[in-house]
Amino acid sequence: MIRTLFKRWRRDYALSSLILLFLLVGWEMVVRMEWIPSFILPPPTSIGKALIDDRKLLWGQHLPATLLEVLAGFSLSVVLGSLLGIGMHMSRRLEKAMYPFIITSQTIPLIALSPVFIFWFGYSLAGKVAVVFLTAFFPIVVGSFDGLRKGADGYSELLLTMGASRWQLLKKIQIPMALPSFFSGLKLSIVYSVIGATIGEWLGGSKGLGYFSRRMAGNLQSDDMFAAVFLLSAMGLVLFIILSLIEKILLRKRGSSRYDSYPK
Amino acid sequence: MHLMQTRISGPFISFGNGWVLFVLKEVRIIKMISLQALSYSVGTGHQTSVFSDLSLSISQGEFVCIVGPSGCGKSTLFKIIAGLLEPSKGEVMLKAQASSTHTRLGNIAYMPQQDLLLPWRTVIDNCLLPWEVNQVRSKAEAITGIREMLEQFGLAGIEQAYPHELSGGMKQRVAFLRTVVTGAELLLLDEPFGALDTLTKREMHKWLIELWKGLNQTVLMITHDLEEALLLSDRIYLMSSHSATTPLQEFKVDLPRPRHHTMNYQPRFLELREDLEQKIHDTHSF
Amino acid sequence: MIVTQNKSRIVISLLLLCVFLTLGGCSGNSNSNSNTETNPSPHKLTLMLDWYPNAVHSLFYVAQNKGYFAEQGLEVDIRMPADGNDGLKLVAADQVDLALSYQPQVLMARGENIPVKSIAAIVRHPLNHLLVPSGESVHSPKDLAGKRIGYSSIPLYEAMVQTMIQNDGGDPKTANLIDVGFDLIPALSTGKVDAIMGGFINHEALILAKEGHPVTSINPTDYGVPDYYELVLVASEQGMKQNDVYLKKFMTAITKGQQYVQTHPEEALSILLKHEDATSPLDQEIEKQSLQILLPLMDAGDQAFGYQDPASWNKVHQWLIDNGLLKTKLKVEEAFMNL
Repeated sequence: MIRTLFKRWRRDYALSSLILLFLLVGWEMVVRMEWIPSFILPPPTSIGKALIDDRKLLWGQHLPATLLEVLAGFSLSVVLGSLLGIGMHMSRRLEKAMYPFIITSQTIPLIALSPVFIFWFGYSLAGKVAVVFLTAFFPIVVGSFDGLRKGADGYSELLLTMGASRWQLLKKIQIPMALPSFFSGLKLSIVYSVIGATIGEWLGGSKGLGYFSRRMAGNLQSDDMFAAVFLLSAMGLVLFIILSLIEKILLRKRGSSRYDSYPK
Repeated sequence: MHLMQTRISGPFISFGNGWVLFVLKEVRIIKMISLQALSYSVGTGHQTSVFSDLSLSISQGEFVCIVGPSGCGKSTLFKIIAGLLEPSKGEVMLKAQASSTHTRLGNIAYMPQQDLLLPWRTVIDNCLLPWEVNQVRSKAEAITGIREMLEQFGLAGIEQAYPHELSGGMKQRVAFLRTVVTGAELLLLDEPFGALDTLTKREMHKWLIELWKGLNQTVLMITHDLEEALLLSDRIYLMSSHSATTPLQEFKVDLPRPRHHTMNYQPRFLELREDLEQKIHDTHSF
Repeated sequence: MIVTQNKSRIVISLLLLCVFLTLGGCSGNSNSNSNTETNPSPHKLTLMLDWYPNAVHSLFYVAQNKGYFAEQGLEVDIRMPADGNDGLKLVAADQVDLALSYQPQVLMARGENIPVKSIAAIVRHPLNHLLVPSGESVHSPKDLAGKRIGYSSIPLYEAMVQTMIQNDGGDPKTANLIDVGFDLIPALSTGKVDAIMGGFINHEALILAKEGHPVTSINPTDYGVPDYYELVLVASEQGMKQNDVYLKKFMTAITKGQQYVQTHPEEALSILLKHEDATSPLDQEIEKQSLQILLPLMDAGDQAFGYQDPASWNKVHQWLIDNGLLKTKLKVEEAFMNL
């Protein structure tokens, strides 16, 4: 079992791993040969060193702080976002009332909103969670709403002839049908959550990887700054992979290959 | 299925051959479903008529097929009967009583063209779907009933399988089981074997004929296949592509019951087949 | 199998080639002008400001506008940074010739092996004061114990606050320091913090007063922070070797410019306002007040404009070491040069 997994990994990702290796080596060489000064772009080896030297700060203090903001904001987005998506699906009026505001909320630059956020939340965790929510709930609303609206007419008709109510339709047909789209929204959202947490920390705070990276930039310590950035990317990647795995497990039973064509 | 055609009063019937039957109860004709001057049009403003002034009736226990070219409105007719669509004009009488779409929904079993088995549910969970919607008995009873039927339908052992693991024929049988399990007295089957290959279809005919001996539902079935219609049904209604203007033609199939799947080789069958084709040709212009 | 292996090798080689080409292109961007004295066309220099153009930069715009640069055979391109730290890094990378930064930052940069040198002190004393709402409970740094202080991301400011509290007899560990990025003004005006560090007396303080939140400023040099040069002119070591002559000419031009600003502040301001950045428009009243605050702080007295005192550099260097902002001792004399 492990052997087949490894074989599959090797087949699928061997090429991209190789490219990554070449890029890293190239990067290291470019800085060593001083084509780019190291205070602008530190070489991978010094970033790695910073990751190890400052592990207490990076891994022990700032990573958990940002992770907490990400998970809290993401959970809030999932709950409220899917409720909103379902609500908009069930009520035309709600949909028409809310949709314009939801879209507008995404187009307002956060810089304009930051004094407002500071006023409401101060520099507490709530402020960061609010920023994460603002960036992360939109893909979930769209994912659930579009997923619920998708096709499924044939199935719905079938259930209606059995005498199903609207809520039964929602529970038995529409929600299971919407899961693939919903998961797409989740995956987008978790990545946005990491970005949102970073921006939230920039608005004001005293810990977190976003806070730390900006502080290190101010101190001209680019290797620490890049180390924090690396951890942020890694966090986003790992969370995305976890969601993909959950998606695969939940949707595996459906025979995903035949999944894309639903009868109308 | 044997139809009782006469009203009996008195304690017995005598037959010409000397047999006497003591009748213990009265038997009536029960019209299961009756369509009176049904019309349906689509579109706003300038409406296109799909069919108009359509009348038919089906008695309890009958197996009736509707045959017609694509696009003549057969599926639409079914949706009206099932209660999914509101007719533009006319009446649908269910068991000799006027009905609305509201009263029909949930009381008539509908098997759509594609099997429409929920891909995220196992076979048994799919069959439990009607019970979940309309819980008339306990879950345990429902499951037992389904399991018995799975045996009957030759589907023992696939209870926990997912639809994507089944063959086309098996999926159709599961969908049929789900339709039967609704407990409704009237079944509407929309081309249930249309998507199957010829060999599997033959198997399905054989299977349905066997099954039919033990069931006592009323069936209205849409099909393209003339042989299938003749093999399975008591009567055939012909819908033409001009259903807007031409009334339904009725065709009686006087083959003996219980049927056998090899009846299609018999001379009487071939005569009926020729007759039917002729009738279709006469009423349809190509 | 073999075909796909060959294919992937080709792909990889192409990718590498692209990577190297792009990087090669980037590095070929150094400012190399010919070094002859008798250059008929003016020598181009780029100057990156520390922020959007405001009163403190008047001398540069005056020198440009009044032809002082041209007199010296120079053509100066004045640019704005995207981020306050950009100037220093870009100078070190030879992407710009000159930049504005501040004295402690130059030392810390050298500590990170960034090869920059300060060539003139433009503003000779701190503009960055601790700002507290007027009339409230905080009167001196020790009152900050247990309170929230907002600062703009730079660890230096954190250290300054801690020095001030300690010097005044308070316990710096009890103060809650919050990084508020650039949003210093909303931080104080909404009352989410009790004091801010990183606001300038000639900018944030004036704006807060104007918005109805008058503030009292507490000078860090009163409480143990060495008197440092708030704004210095910085060039790279490489740049200084190459452009030595032109940098001297630049200094002559801006000295003349600063003189003009001192004697004709109104005209100087109107020249500045012509060059305001469209995205950061200036408030005339505030800039007027700002200039009045700045002029005495830019005055070098008996010395030439921009003169840097080695004693000042040594004191700042020592303070940075004592507060853990510099990890290793530097050769301080290499950090600056008076042209």
